[in-house]
This record gives sequence, C-alpha cells and structure tokens, in this order.
Amino acid sequence: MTRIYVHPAPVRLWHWLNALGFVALIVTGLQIRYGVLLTLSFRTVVDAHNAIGFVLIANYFVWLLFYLFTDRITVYHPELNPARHYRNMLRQVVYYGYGIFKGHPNPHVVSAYRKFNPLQSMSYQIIMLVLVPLQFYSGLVLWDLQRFAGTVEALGGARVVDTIHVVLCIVFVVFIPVHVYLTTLGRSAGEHIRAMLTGYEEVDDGPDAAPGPAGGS
Amino acid sequence: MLGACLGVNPVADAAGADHSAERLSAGDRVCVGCHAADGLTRKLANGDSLSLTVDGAAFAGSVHGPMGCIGCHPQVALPAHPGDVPNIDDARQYAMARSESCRACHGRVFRPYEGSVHALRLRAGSAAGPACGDCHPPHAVTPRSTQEGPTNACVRCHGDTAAQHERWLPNAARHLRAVACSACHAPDALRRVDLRVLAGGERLTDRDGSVPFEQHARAADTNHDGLDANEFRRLLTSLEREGNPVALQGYIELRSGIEAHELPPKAAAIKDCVKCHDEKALPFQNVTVSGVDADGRPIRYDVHREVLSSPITWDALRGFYAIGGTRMKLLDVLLALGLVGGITVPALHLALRRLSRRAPNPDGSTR
Ligand code: HEC
Ligand code: HEC
Ligand code: HEC
Ligand code: HEC
Ligand code: HEC
Ligand code: HEC
Ligand code: HEC
Ligand code: HEM
Repeated sequence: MTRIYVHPAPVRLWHWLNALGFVALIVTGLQIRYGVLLTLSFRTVVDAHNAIGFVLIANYFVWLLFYLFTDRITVYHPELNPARHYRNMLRQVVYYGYGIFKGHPNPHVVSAYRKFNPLQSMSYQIIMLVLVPLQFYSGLVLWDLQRFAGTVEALGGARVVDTIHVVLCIVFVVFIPVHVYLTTLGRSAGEHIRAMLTGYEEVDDGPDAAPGPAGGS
Repeated sequence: MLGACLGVNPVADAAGADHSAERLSAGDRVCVGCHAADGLTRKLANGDSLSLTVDGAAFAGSVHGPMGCIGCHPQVALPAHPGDVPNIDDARQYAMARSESCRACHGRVFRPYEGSVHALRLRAGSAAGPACGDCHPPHAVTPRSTQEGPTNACVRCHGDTAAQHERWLPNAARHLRAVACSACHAPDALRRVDLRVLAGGERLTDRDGSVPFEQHARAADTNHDGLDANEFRRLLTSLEREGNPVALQGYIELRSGIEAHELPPKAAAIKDCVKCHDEKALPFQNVTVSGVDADGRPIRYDVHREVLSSPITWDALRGFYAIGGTRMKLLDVLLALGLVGGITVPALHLALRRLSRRAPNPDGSTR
C-alpha cells in the first residue's frame, strides 16, 4: 500500500464548498419554484439563492484556475488516443454494469496524475466545462433580467433562460446521488470520500501505481 | 354632414378644428367657438392664470363627446356666460371642485377613490394629490387614455418609480412593465393575467374590422368554453395568417377598472411575493388574451389557465415568466423522475452488489 497525494488542497476546498453550495442551491431553487419545503419568505429564499450562486461562481474559478495553471490538468487528459479512451470508457461501464457484481477488479487504477477513470474524466469535464458554466450563466441572467436584457432577447425570452436553468438543475439532481454513490465504490465505502477530505488516496502497489512527476500541487 | 365636410360649416372652421369637431352638437360648437382659441386665459385670485383653451376635436372624439359640455359644466348657461363666471381662487381648487361633476355618472368610482391615500391627503389639506382630471384628461377621455394615461400620470407626480421599488423588489423595472401599479396598490381587488397580443411591437389593433380579433378568437374556440392550449395556438396561427407575426406580452392587471381607485397608503400595498410567485396565486386563476379596437379599448377573450403552463404554448409565451406562477408542468414531471431515478438507480445497484456478494467468486474473493 502506498499513500499518494491525489487531491491538492485547492481542489478539496473547491469541492466541498461546491458540494455544499449545490445542495443549498437545489434546496432553495426548489423552494423558489414550489414553495412547499420551508416557511421562509420568498424574498429571503431568492436572496439566499442569489448569494450562494455568486459564491459558487467565484469558487468555480478556484477550480478552473488551479487546473489551468498547474500541471494537474493532466488528470483530465491522460489518454490522448480517442479510440483507446472510448475503449477504456466502455470497459469502465462494463465494470459498473457487470464486472462489479462478479468481483472483477476495477479496470482503472488511481495515481496522482491518473486519478480519474475515463468515465469520470469525461463526465467531470462535461459537467465542469459545459453544464456548470451554463447553469451559472443562466442564473446570472435571471438574477437581473434588465441588465442582461440583450442576452434574454437573444435566447428568446425569460422563459427560455428559466427552462435552461431548470433542466440543468434536474441534471444535477440526478448527478449528485449517482456521483456520491460512485465514490463509495472503493475498497471501503468511505475511502474516496476520506481522500477528498485529506488529499491522500491509498493505492495497491503495482506497476500501474507509479506516481507521476513529483511536486505540482 | 357632406356640406360640413366641404367646409360650409362656419363654426367648425372658426374653431380651426379638423373634421371630427363636426361631431359636436350645435350648442357645443358655440362653446368651442370661443374656447378653442389659444391664449384664452383667466386671471385667478391668487395671481396665477388659468388656460381656458379646450380642443374641440379631441373632445368630440372622446367618450364624453355625445353628452356635451353641459354634462360636466351645468352651471354654464349662455348668454349670461361668460359675464357671470364666479371668482376662482386657484387652479388646484378649481380642478377639485370640477371633479365633483363626475360623481353624477361615475358614483361607483368615488367610493374607492375617497378611501385612497390621495383623497385622504387632499382632505388633510394637501393640495398635491390627484383629482379625476389629473389621471384622466377631462376633455379627452378615450379608452386609450384610460389604459395608458393613469400610469403616465403616476410617474409624472411620483418620479422614478423603478428606483423606489428597486429597494425591495428585484427586477423592479421589469415588474413595472409586467404588472399594473393598481395590481399591487389595490391589494383587495381581483387580479388577472392579460396576454396582450403585439404586432410589430404595438398592441394588435382591430381598426374597424381590419383584424377581426374577436372573430378569430371565436373561430379558434371550438367548444365555446374559452381557449385551451391548442385553441390558443390556433388563434395565434390564424392571426399570423392575417399578416404580421404576433408576439405576446403578459400583464397582471385588475379585473375591474373601478377598483384601480382604491390606492390605500403604501403600507397596505402588496409586498408579499407569493401573491404572484406561486402557482395558486390569484392572478393566474383568471387569464385573458386581448387586442384593442380602433379607440384603444381592449377586446378580451377568456383563456384557460393551463395555457400558462402547457408545453404546447411554451414557445408562444417565451417572453412571459413569473417564477413559481407560470411554471411548465412537463418540467415538474422530469424533476420528479430525476429525483426518483437519481436515488433508485444507485439503490438498486447497491442491492445487486449486496446480493451478488453472497455468492463467493470462483477465486474465493468476495468483491
Ligand atoms: C363668447 C365666448 C364664449 C362662449 C361662447 C363660451 N365661453 Fe366659456 N368662457 C369665456 C370666457 C371669456 C371665459 C373666462 C371668463 C372670465 O375670465 O371671467 C370663460 C370661462 C369658462 C369656464 C371657466 C369658468 C367656469 O365657470 O368654470 C368654463 C368651464 C366655460 N367657460 C365653459 C363654457 C361652455 C360649456 C360654453 C358653452 C355652453 C362656453 N364656455 C361658451 C368665453 C366663452
Ligand atoms: C367629462 C366632464 C367634462 C366635460 C364633458 C367638459 N368638461 Fe370642461 N372641465 C371639466 C373638468 C373636470 C375641468 C377642470 C379642469 C381640470 O380638472 O383640469 C374642466 C375645465 C374646463 C375649463 C376651464 C379651463 C381648464 O381647462 O381647466 C373650460 C374652459 C372648460 N372646461 C370648457 C369645456 C367645454 C367648452 C366643454 C365642451 C366642449 C367641456 N368643458 C366639457 C370636465 C368636463
Ligand atoms: C353625464 C354623465 C357623465 C359624466 C358627468 C362623466 N362621465 Fe365619464 N363616462 C360617461 C359615459 C357614458 C362613459 C362611457 C361608458 C362606456 O363607454 O362604457 C364614460 C366613460 C368614462 C371613462 C372610461 C373611458 C373608457 O372607455 O375607458 C372615464 C375614465 C371617465 N368617463 C371619466 C370621467 C371623468 C373624469 C369625469 C368627470 C370629469 C366624467 N367621466 C364625467 C358619462 C359621464
Ligand atoms: C391616480 C390616478 C386616478 C385618479 C385620480 C382617478 N382615476 Fe379613474 N382610473 C384610473 C385607473 C388606473 C383606471 C383603470 C384603467 C384600466 O382599466 O386599466 C381608471 C379607470 C376609470 C374609469 C373606467 C372604469 C372601468 O369601468 O373600467 C372611470 C369611469 C374612471 N376611472 C373615473 C374616474 C373618476 C370619476 C375619478 C375622480 C373621482 C377618477 N377616475 C380618478 C386612475 C385614476
Ligand atoms: C397629481 C399628482 C399625483 C398623481 C397623478 C398620482 N399621485 Fe400618488 N401621491 C401624490 C401625492 C401628493 C401623494 C402624497 C404623498 C405624501 O403624502 O407623502 C401621493 C401618495 C401616493 C401613495 C402613498 C405613499 C405613501 O406614503 O403611503 C401611493 C402608493 C401613490 N401615491 C400611488 C400612486 C399611483 C399608483 C398613481 C397612479 C395611478 C398615483 N399615485 C398618481 C400625487 C400623485
Ligand atoms: C409588485 C407590486 C407593486 C407594483 C407593481 C407597484 N408598486 Fe408601488 N409599492 C409597492 C409596495 C409594496 C410599496 C411600499 C414599499 C415600502 O414598504 O416602502 C410601494 C410604494 C410605492 C410608493 C411610495 C414610495 C415611497 O418610497 O414612499 C409609490 C409612490 C408607488 N409605490 C407608486 C407606484 C406606481 C406609480 C406604480 C406603477 C408604475 C407602482 N407603484 C407599482 C408595490 C408595488
Ligand atoms: C403582483 C405580482 C408580483 C409580485 C407581488 C411580485 N412579482 Fe416578481 N414577477 C411578477 C411577474 C408577472 C414577473 C414576470 C415578468 C416578465 O416576465 O416580464 C415577475 C418576475 C420576477 C423575477 C424575474 C425572474 C423570472 O424568472 O421571472 C424575479 C426574480 C421576481 N419576480 C422576484 C420577485 C420577488 C422577490 C418578489 C417579492 C419581493 C416579487 N417578485 C413580487 C409578478 C410579481
Ligand atoms: C454533495 C455531495 C458530494 C459528495 C459526497 C462528493 C464526493 C466526491 C468525491 C469523493 C470525489 C473524488 C472522486 C473520486 O476520487 O472518485 C469527488 C470529485 C468530484 N466531484 Fe464531487 N461530491 C459531491 C458533490 C459534487 C457536486 C455537486 C459536483 C458538481 C456539480 C461535484 C463535482 C465533482 C468533480 C468535478 C470532481 C472531480 C474533482 C477534481 O477535479 O479533482 N461533486 N466528489
């Protein structure tokens, strides 16, 4: 067993603030839309939702800038051969859908520079580079329809912006429990979650576990 | 009438009015003969001067044209007039006093008006509050002036209302465009959503049959119980076939214009967002679609409330969205599926793993 540093501090900070924020945004968002869960005033909930949104937008840049300006970005493109990438992804899907029940080993082995399996890498990139920014942007526009009147017009109206915002919310409502569940599929249920807290992941020694270049946090 | 059009009528010509002034009765034309002149003024006791000019053509085209000057000025009688005009202290007081003449025909308006903050202030001695004539041009009341005039009047006296409301109302300017002042400032009145049909940025206007709006609506309403989502789309399609592409503007307003005069002190105004931002909120229970006739009078047709939340009309209503109040049902279903799916899929996976773990693998491991 080797302890490797997989989640540098800025990522961990971003992650937990983001996780907390997303849950809070979903709860306040549903409250604004349905008004059934709490007895808080609409105005308070709108203000809270907006404030949390702005914190998360700022927080998002912690994540983005960290990856843009450190060599850790390699966790997101370890496989440059697309054919192999999709083959690996398929292998990961087969593992989750079948192999895991048979007790087959996880086809992906974590290392500091290859911490994500291809499925994770792909879905995290879609989420972090497309869905999350789009959600933040539509939220920003809804926050002040007057100031962003041009965008509202270009998109076709307030209802269009709102529908984008709500559909993405639904995607996150599905993503979060699935994501949390997938993180419990380590050797023990709490292993990956502990790693996201401490930064260190324990990995089996083996040829694949070779740590990447030193430093870089 | 034809003779008048050819300019044989000396009074209309003397009045310098266009042809619509000819609709005035002979008696009124005599009044306008003197009162259309620019610069006719009267010195008041307080030193100000009061303009006595009245636009005869505008009056003739107003809703009050048929009843004549005497309808509101019964004290004026020729030929004693203008020799017997009583003393007038100041213009404000004069306007207030003349407002009383509206009571004979519009008594129902006075009840709410007299309870309004404006009337309260007037009775307390402040002369700045509006009389009838400040919101309705007394000699030019038309359906159009009744629709648009009052809001402009509010803003003339109250200044930058968007800034005042911005303090507690997010997107205030947008609210003021989509919500009538009275929809919040007459809190006990019944409200509704009016979907205004716009063509080329203006309200769709039926100029004496040019776009027979009501006929189109009736034709679309196959089961004669108001327009449902499909019928609503049919109406828009058939209006588009007439020419202009149409758009819709959602507007929250009172069901009765009379209640618009309530205007209690600001503490009573609607501040509770849930009065609108909730599916069960009052305005969304009553929905109409409207165009206007040549005079600017709204022509309304009933619409089923589901039009606000149906995917069928989503596109047509893409510019009107009051969070909570007009949400689309389809998204609610998707969300429910998402909530259930996001939890049951992992739960099933977990259960399957538990079950499969009972049987040890060929190599003896359990995972
Ligand atoms: C011969 C011209 C003339 C005619 C005709 C005339 N007016 Fe006047 N009117 C005046 C003048 C001049 C004054 C201002 C009198 C003054 O300053 O003492 C006046 C004042 C008024 C006033 C303001 C004072 C008040 O009594 O409230 C009203 C209202 C009025 N006229 C209505 C009418 C009506 C209605 C008619 C038609 C029935 C009419 N006038 C016909 C010349 C005329
Ligand atoms: C619907 C009621 C109504 C009718 C009809 C009406 N007036 Fe008036 N008139 C008023 C009121 C109210 C005022 C007080 C001015 C104000 O409120 O601004 C007024 C004021 C006046 C004045 C004083 C100057 C001024 O503008 O304040 C004159 C002159 C006058 N009217 C003439 C006429 C003439 C001439 C006619 C017919 C062509 C006529 N009015 C018809 C309601 C009416
Ligand atoms: C002699 C009766 C009479 C008097 C006095 C009178 N009105 Fe009217 N008013 C009418 C009639 C009739 C209508 C038209 C109703 C309709 O078309 O449904 C009307 C309509 C109106 C409308 C609604 C216009 C619309 O169609 O939207 C307003 C606003 C109005 N009057 C204001 C006033 C004011 C202000 C006064 C006093 C300065 C006044 N009226 C005095 C008879 C009167
Ligand atoms: C502070 C502005 C204001 C004042 C003052 C005011 N009104 Fe109005 N009035 C309105 C508004 C707003 C409406 C509703 C317009 C609409 O239907 O959208 C209205 C509508 C009306 C209508 C048409 C009602 C209907 O059946 O639709 C009449 C009649 C009328 N007013 C008469 C009067 C009379 C008479 C007075 C004086 C006692 C008066 N108004 C004073 C703002 C005012
Ligand atoms: C002729 C000018 C005038 C017009 C037009 C007018 N107002 Fe006012 N309004 C006043 C004055 C003056 C006051 C009293 C202000 C004060 O006492 O602080 C007042 C008070 C108010 C208040 C109460 C504020 C408080 O402190 O409680 C409200 C609400 C209000 N107006 C709404 C409206 C609306 C809505 C309209 C248009 C339908 C309108 N006003 C048109 C002059 C006007
Ligand atoms: C969404 C509801 C809503 C709408 C729409 C609305 N108001 Fe108000 N308005 C309020 C409330 C609530 C207050 C009291 C705010 C407070 O507590 O200070 C208020 C306050 C006011 C005041 C007093 C401002 C002050 O600071 O003393 C005026 C004047 C006024 N409104 C005029 C208007 C006019 C004119 C319009 C239309 C152009 C309008 N309002 C539209 C809800 C509304
Ligand atoms: C009288 C009804 C009414 C009240 C009260 C009201 N709103 Fe609104 N609100 C609307 C309408 C209608 C729209 C849609 C405007 C549009 O589509 O142009 C809207 C739009 C909005 C929006 C724009 C975002 C969107 O997606 O529609 C926000 C945010 C909002 N309201 C918040 C509030 C808050 C917070 C309050 C209470 C402080 C409030 N509203 C009170 C009617 C109301
Ligand atoms: C709410 C509870 C959440 C928990 C318990 C949780 C847990 C975790 C864990 C344990 C990891 C490490 C993954 C691994 O090593 O397998 C991780 C990574 C990640 N999570 Fe979450 N997460 C949560 C919410 C979210 C949300 C709301 C988002 C985004 C919308 C999100 C996006 C991500 C991303 C992008 C990574 C990769 C981090 C990186 O770039 O280094 N997570 N999460």
